[in-house]
Amino acid sequence: MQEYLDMIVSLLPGLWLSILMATVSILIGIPLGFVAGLILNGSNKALRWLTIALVEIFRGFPALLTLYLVYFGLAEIITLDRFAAVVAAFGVTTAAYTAEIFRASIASVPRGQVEAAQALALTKKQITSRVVLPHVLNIAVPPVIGIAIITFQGTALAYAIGAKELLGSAYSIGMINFRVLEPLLVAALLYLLFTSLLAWMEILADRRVARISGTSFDGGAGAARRRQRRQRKTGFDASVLNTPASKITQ
Amino acid sequence: MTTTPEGTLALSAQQIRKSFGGKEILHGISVDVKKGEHIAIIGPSGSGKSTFIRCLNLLETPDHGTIDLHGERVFDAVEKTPAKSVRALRKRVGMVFQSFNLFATHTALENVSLAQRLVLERSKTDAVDRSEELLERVGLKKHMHKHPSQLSGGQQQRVAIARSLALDPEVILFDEPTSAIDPEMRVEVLRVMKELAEGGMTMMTVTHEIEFAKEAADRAMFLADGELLEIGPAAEILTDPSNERIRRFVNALSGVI
Repeated sequence: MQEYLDMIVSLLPGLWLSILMATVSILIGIPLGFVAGLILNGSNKALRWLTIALVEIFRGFPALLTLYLVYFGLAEIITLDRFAAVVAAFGVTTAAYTAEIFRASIASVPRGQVEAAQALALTKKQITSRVVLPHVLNIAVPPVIGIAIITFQGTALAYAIGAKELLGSAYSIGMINFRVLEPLLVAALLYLLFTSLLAWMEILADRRVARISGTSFDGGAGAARRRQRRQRKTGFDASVLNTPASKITQ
Repeated sequence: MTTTPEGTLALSAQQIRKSFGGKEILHGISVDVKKGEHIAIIGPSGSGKSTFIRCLNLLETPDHGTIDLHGERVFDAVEKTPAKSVRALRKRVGMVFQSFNLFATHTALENVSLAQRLVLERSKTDAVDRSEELLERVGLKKHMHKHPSQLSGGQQQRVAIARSLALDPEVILFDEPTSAIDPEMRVEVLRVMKELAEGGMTMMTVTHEIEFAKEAADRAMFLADGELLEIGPAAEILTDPSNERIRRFVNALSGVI
């Protein structure tokens, strides 16, 4: 038992490095992904195509290949230490994956939300920050946590360039004692624990979205559309109710 | 129309034209709305009712025409209207939408407070006080901490009315306010609107609720194919329409075959 506790303690610096790498990658990736999402919804064609290309490239490359390209490829130009290479590579990978989430979230803000804010004389900036952004974040947070989990697990790839993150540490410990399996299993447990924590946050965020938005996000526009469709079919608004005056005045 | 002294006109829209994709939807519509007056806008689908009302707070920019508020020119299609003037107009002309469009991520209270905080720059306490007062007025104070998705259509629309009132507008435009609400829930919205109209609020309402228009509107204007067919006392126009087109329309809505 003591042996395993010691192992966990000796793996903690590795776990810490993994968490740190993932956190910095996510902190780089999410803002970049958000900006990409804005551009993908924007009207600047050149910027949009450039962004589409970048997103496809970094989603198309295996993350390990991106890491190699950054670590070894950029070494020709500037020398990056391992940590910098890892967070640069995984930062852009995370950005590429979250870009699509943000693009879809921004596109899903119903037009009526913006119109209502315009009708209330809000400025463009206020509409973006107080109406559109809360909406986007509300939708985007659960899937972005999903990407964060993948990024966290992806830090194991940093082992390939010799970083002493969780997997690398476990392997080193194993090499010292020539017993690789135990430290790997302990590392697996730590990955699992931390990932479960993130997954639990994802569920909480999901519930929050469901609570706030109900089943649909359009605030009744769906019902209105269905009614309009009916109306087009039948030629006049069959749902019209001639409320007796007595009922209105009571 | 009766001659009205210029000063008592709350809103005057003249020769409003609007095209979409080269097709003219509004062929120059004019209306003078007196202070405290409630005008119902009636007409078949596609007649341009919604487009017209949306032009009045510049959610659509008219291609031609002018808009005056209390005798002050606030829009003229020949000049570009700066964003600041557009906002100034919208502050004075409220809008209630067919699909409510409450801010989905905000509670009822926050929906009503938001513009007070951002546009009127009221303090949080003042904004909340006023919001509670308005929600009380539309009978929803006990639901003020709920999100729109937790409210019925009729309740959402009443919150939307309170939200619009929060800016103390001079005119409120209603774009088919009850069309997306289940029939039994409409009454509560119509009652709030009737109270508003009786309280002296200047209102324009696009509606298919003929009985409500007769009862609660002072005048009715009938649009067809982007033209103003007739305007006059609501009860008169809608009870016994002399115009054949209006008669057919009103009869169809009343279920007369």
